[in-house]
This record gives sequence, structure tokens and C-alpha cells, in this order.
Amino acid sequence: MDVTRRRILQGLGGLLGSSLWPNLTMASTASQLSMFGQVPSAAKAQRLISAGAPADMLLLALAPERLLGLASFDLGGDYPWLSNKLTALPKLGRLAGRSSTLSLEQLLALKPDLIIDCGTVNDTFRSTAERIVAQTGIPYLLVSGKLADSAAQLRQTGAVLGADARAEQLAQIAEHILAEAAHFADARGRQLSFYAARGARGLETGVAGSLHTEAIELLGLRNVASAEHQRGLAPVSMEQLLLWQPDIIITQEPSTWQHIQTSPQWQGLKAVQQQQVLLLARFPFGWFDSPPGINRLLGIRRLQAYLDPSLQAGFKAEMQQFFAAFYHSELSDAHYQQLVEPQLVNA
Amino acid sequence: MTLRATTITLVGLLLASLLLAISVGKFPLSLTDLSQLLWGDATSVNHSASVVFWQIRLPRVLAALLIGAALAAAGTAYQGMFRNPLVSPDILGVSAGAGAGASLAILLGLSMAGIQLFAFAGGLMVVALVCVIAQFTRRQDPVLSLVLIGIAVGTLCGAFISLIKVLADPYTELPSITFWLLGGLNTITVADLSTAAPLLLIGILPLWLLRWRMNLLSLPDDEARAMGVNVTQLRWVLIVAATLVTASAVSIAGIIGWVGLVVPHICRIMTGANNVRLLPCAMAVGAILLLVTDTMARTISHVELPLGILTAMIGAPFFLLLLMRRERL
Amino acid sequence: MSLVAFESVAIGYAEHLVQQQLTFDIAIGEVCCLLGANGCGKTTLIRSLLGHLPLLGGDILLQQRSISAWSQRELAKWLAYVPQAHDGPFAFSVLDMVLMGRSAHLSVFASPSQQERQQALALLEQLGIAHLAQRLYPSLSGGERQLVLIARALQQQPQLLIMDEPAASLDFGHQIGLLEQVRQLKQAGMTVLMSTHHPLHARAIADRVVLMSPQTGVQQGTAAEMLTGQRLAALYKVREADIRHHLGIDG
Repeated sequence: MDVTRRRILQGLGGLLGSSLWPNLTMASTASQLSMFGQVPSAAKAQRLISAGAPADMLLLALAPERLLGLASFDLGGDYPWLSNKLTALPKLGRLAGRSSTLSLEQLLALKPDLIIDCGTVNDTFRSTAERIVAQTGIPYLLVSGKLADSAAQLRQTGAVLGADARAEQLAQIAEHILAEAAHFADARGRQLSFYAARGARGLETGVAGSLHTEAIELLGLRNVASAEHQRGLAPVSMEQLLLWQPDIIITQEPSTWQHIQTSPQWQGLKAVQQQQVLLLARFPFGWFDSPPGINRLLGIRRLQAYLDPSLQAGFKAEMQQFFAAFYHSELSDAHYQQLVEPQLVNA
Repeated sequence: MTLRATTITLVGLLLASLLLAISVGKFPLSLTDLSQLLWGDATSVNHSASVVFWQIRLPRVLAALLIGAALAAAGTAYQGMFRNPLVSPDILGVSAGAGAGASLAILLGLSMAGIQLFAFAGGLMVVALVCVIAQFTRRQDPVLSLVLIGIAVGTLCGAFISLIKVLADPYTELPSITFWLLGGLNTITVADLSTAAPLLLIGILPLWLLRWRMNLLSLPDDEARAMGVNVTQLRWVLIVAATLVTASAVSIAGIIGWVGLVVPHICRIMTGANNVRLLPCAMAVGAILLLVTDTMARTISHVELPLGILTAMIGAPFFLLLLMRRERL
Repeated sequence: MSLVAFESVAIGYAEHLVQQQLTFDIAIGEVCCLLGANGCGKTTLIRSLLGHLPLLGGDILLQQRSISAWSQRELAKWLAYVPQAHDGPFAFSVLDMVLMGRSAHLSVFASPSQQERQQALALLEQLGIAHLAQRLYPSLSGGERQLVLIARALQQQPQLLIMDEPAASLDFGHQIGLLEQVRQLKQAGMTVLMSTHHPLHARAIADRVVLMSPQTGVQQGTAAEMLTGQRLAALYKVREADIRHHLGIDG
């Protein structure tokens, strides 16, 4: 819901010609945390509530054993590649002001020590946090930052939770992936352009600078859909796409991929002719958004491995290492195949 | 303006906007390219220009033409038979039903064909439901009860859409639902057009043929009956035709507001209330409005502006201007 | 010879009987006036005659044939209805409004021909409102609207013209003009059934008067027989002396 509202505001801002959403891509080591209420000592922060999907990702990595449940995911049943510890977590619903699905009464009944939210920090989210603290007395921690700030997010949140050692390990993986991506960007990435296809016909896309394409852009790839005053999702026309002629088309939806392969309209794109249509299906977490959390780190690595053949052989081990560190799960070879297989449907 | 002058102006404007829509676009097609593609030696034009023209721009322009005309015709019919100038083609819930169907299909991750089918079926089913419920309220004025039931069932569909939005993934499905509900022609393909066009034409045909008789439904039922009109039967035929038209348009283009509401108004000022002249005029103006707004939607910015927003932003001020300049309603 | 015969007719709505044992005739070429207090069933009777309300008993014969056996379309070629002048939501021109009267004579997909337009213009001429032909109906005065509705009914080329309180909203001058029109129609051979609140209107034009009252049922006779102070006093539940005083009717 918040995404939609923000996008409409962005669209209006764009139409009015204002520049309300400056694009900040610099990584920072400044504090990523905003605290509301009396934040408990590390030892007392035992019962945690995640307020939304990005926080789910952060807490699954840092402290799954202290999570009372997840805000947006029901991992039971269909995700054999995740450990039982994770799949047993119930889905509780999200806390996001008017679009909350977790009621405050239910929240109180869960007796949490701390609520953690992750993502955009602006006055809307700050005032939401303040109201919840005022009403329930439960302290609220807002973690902000871009994907490039993942390491700082992990370390600082880890410090609050007293999970410094684990946080340090995860932060180093994040730093490694981001540094490699930056290196790739300078070496090759900036020569490539991409289009991120969404929607049943592939004619919706994340605009350059939006969180939907942030991960891909960290590899230096140029998003062909750049609108001066827009930072969300937008519809595009096929004519425009034919002019853009992106080098690569990336999608996370099998139905979108299928449409692109078969529709006559799309055959005029050289990326389609040269079979540079990449399907990275989401299981259960997206590679590039859905949710826009630290899960995207693996997406960055996977795309880099696709673009740089010298990394391909080592990617399986890296993904297994990532699963062990971030999802506390052992990824078998068979499951690995299952997760990455869609990439090759193209050939 | 005389009838003749109005006709000439409208035909001229329609041709001009058609020409504008065909010749303007993101992909540069010169007028020479266009004339070669249309009348000349097509092999002399490069392949991608030919794809742009035949696969992308022409289907889209024809869809705008057809859908604009169809929505305006349906709006004219509904306003006439419900004797209310505030009625729009979705008064009986066809858009709300189509929206609910499409949202559900997006939530289920269906392909575009599936989304279109769900939208079409949803629209028809909701109107059918409204009509069935109306059979149980025979003591009331039939027009009033249809409108009220339409509002109630439409509200139910709105609630269902909201529920789906809550359940949808906020990063993927929700934006798709929002875009669908805002309407747009950016996804139109030749296949869409060839499926929807026959349905649209089948729906428009009875509206066109019965347009003189439609006048009589503007009178109180008893008066029309006393003039030998089978009011109930005529109204059902028009409802079925106008619903088919709206459901087909909505299923390929999403919800495009304002055309069906405002265009009949504008035209009533130009030609008077007689549907013999009003309906053709409304169809022409509807087509012109959608051709122009869709051309704007696809050319103003790199990314598209949702068509529903543009038709409202252009339609509403124009409408207000007319209201202020007009002496009597 | 009677054009319409009411035979022991009971009228009303499913849960509410308005009048029963209505028996009277309307003869060809005569003007028949319906009189009665508010709520006595004049409008209900007209709706029943037009086939808009099912009868609760008895039968109405048109040309010796039960009206339930007539189709709506056939009925409209015999009976034409002139409602009270009203506002429509849409501004039709006077000519368009009059042409709507042709619908029973046109096939479903047809619209009026040039010849029918000429006919309509002639009717407007006949009623003295030819100059209004291109005006918008809602912009007319009440009296002008009533004449347009009469023209529309005549465009149906009916045998019987049914008028529901046509003078109700007209000023004095237009009331006289309207009665004059009815008189001329009668001279041209039209049969007219007219409900009215004004005994004087009935006296001015009626060949036959039908009094409707919930207590006494239906009485019919010539204007002179029916419009007596005694009968009217009973009909409207006022004192006979007052009726005489107001209308100047003899005992």
C-alpha cells in the first residue's frame, strides 16, 4: 500500500516538475537507526516483532530464534530448502500505519520486547512508530538505508540485539558482494543497459533509482527507463522499448518471460533476438525486490555471475555459503538446481 | 452550429486526431515511411519500422478509436435509458466487476489472456447479478432499483478489490493491480484487438440501430408504453448491448473513466438530446478524446502516464468549462 | 356505438382495491369527462385502460375485444395518452418530442421519415404552435408543453385520446385554449376521455360525464344530468349551497 501511495505522489511530483526525491546512492557509515521508546538492553531484547518484509529478511539473518513470527511470509510447506527453524515461524501480519494487518491488540498479546522496521525512513514512518510506542509502550527501532548500506545496517542492528559476532560475519559477506559489484561496475557493468520487465505483458518497469532496480544498478548496469522526476514503477510502451533497445531484459516472473518469448511485438528487440532475456524467478524471496531487503545481495551476486563467466563455476558454493549465513539453512545441490534452473530456460 | 457544420467539424477532427495518433510516437516514423507502409512498397521500409507500425502503433490507435467510441456509446445509452445525465457506463457495476476479476487474476499470477478473461467474465457476472436481484424488487421503480442495486454490488466489488490489494504482494502484484485499475492501452496487441473488436461491434450495433427508439426510454415508462413501446424488453436489450461493449473495452484497456460520463454531456450541448444525432456525435467525440489522450500518454514522458488519469485531467476541466458557459442544464 | 365498454371493472393495485363495479361506455365521437375527488381512482382507471395495470375484476372491451388481448403496440394505434405536462431530464426539441408518437407505427429499427416530419409540423400548425417546432421542450411554458403532448398523442393517429387532468397546471387563459382544442378535436371526429377536477370544464365540453366516488360507485349521464349541485356536493363532500354559490349551478 505504502508503495502505491508513494508512487502516486512521485508521479504527481514528476508532473509538477519538482524534484522532491533526490537520488542518494552513496554508501554511508552514519547511523542507520532511529529509536523510539526505551530500547531494551541486548539481553532483554528476546522477543522480536518484525514490522514488514524487509525487516523479516534482516531478522531472519540476525536473530531468527528470537523472532515471534514473520510479517509477510508464510514459509510453511513449500520451501524445503529452508531449515525447519524458519519454516516453523508463523505469519503475523505487518505493521504499517493504516495498511497494517497485525492488530495492536494482537501485538500486545504477543508480549514483544522490541519492534523492528526496515526501509524508508520519513515523517510518515517516524510518526507511525511514535504512535505505536505511545499506544503500546513497546519500543520501536527503525532501520534505514539503501542496499549499499547493508553492512552498516547489519552491524548496527546486531549491536542493539547483542549479536555482534553473527552481524560481523554477515556484514563482511555483504561488503564482499558490494565491493565485487562496484569493481564489476567499473570494469564492465557500465557498458551494459538493462530493462526490468514486470507485469503480465512485461510493460511495467522499475524506474532508474527505484528500489525495484537498485540491486541491478549497483552492478553498474544502466536502467533504460529513466524518468527525471519519478522513482517508482511506471508503465511503458513497446515503441519506447524498441527505441531503448536494452542489452539485457531481466524479469522475475515466469509468465512475463513466457510472454516476451512468444509475443511478436517483442521480437523486434535485439535482446530478445540474441536471447538475452533473463528469468530469475522468486523462490520465496525475490532476487531484486519483493521484498527489497538484504535478500537482494544474493541477487547482485547471481546477476554478476551470469554476466561474468569466470564466476559461474564458483557461484554454487557462494550461494550455499549465503544460505548458511543468512538463512541458517543447508542448501543441497538438488535444491540449488531447482532455484537457479529458470535462468537457463532461455537457451 | 447547424447539423451540417457539426458533422463536418467532427469528421474533420476525427480524421486529424487519427492522423496525429498514427504519425506521432516515441519511435520515429517519417511520413514517407508511413505512406510506404500504407500504400507503397512495404519492402523499402526497414523491418523494425514495419513492426512498430503494424504490431504496435496501429493496433493501439485502432483500439483507442474503437474503445473511445464504444464507451461513449454505452454512456449515451445508459444515460438515456436511466433518464439521468450523471450515469456512466459502469453504473451497473461492470467496471467494478471487471476490476475484481482482473485483480483476482493478477493475484493468482495468471497470464494476460487469463486477466482479460477474468475481467470480462467478472464484468458480465456482476451486471447479471444486479439484474437478477432487480427481479426481486418489483415493487420499486425499475430504473431506481437497478441503479441502487448497481451501486451496492459495485461497492461490494470495491471491497473485494481492496481485500485483494491487502493480500497482494506490495512489491509486485499490488502495482500491477493499481496500473490495471488506472487503465491504459500500452499493452494492446493485434490479438487483443482482434478478440475485442468483434465483441465491441456486436454491442454497438443494437445501440446504433435502436438509437431513435432509445429516445422513448427517456420518458416515464407509462408514457412510452402508451406509445406502443415494450419498455422492459427494449431496456434489457440496451443493457445487454451496453454491458457487452463496456466489459469488452474494460477487459483489454482497464478502467478508463470519464469518457462514458462526460462525452454524452458535451455532445448533448452540441446536437441536442435526440439519440439519432447524439449517438454518432458521442461516438466521434469519444474516439477523438481517447485518440488524443492516448497519444499524450505515450509521448509526454519516457514512461507512460496512466490513461485513466489523463482522461480525467482533460475531461473534468473541459466539462466544468462547458457547465459554466452554458445557460441551462 | 361504443368504442370502449367498462364491464363491472375492479381497479387497483395488488394489495389495494381502489374501485369496483365500474360499468360505463364511451361512444365513438363523444367527449367523456371523469370527475371525482382526489384518490377516487381516476388515474388508476386510466392506467388500467392503457393496459399498464392488470384489472382486479371484470373486463374492458375495446372494439368488443378485451384489452388484455391487445398487444401494447396495437393498443397504441387506438389509444393515445396525454399525461400532465412534466419536465424531462433531457432537452428534446418540440419536433423530436412530437415524432416520438410515431413509434407504434414504425418498425423496431426505423426512425421517422421526412413524410412523418411533415405530418408532425402540420399537427403543430393545427394546434397553433408551429413556431415552437425547433424550441427545446423544457424551455416551454406549461400550456405550450400540454399542447406539444397533445400533438404527440395525435401523431399516434388514435381513435381515443385519453387526457389525465390536462388543465391541472395551466393558467385561466390556457385552460380555455385547451378546452377549445378539445372541442375542435371532437368536431374533427376524435373520441376523448378526459379526467378533470373542474366541473365547469366538464360542462363546457362533455357529452357524457362519469362521476367516480368510493361511496356511490360510478354514475354516468349527460353533463346536465350529472353536474347538479346535489350530485357534486355528494361527490366532493361539501354542502350543496356552497357548490351552487361557487359554480352558479341550479338545483
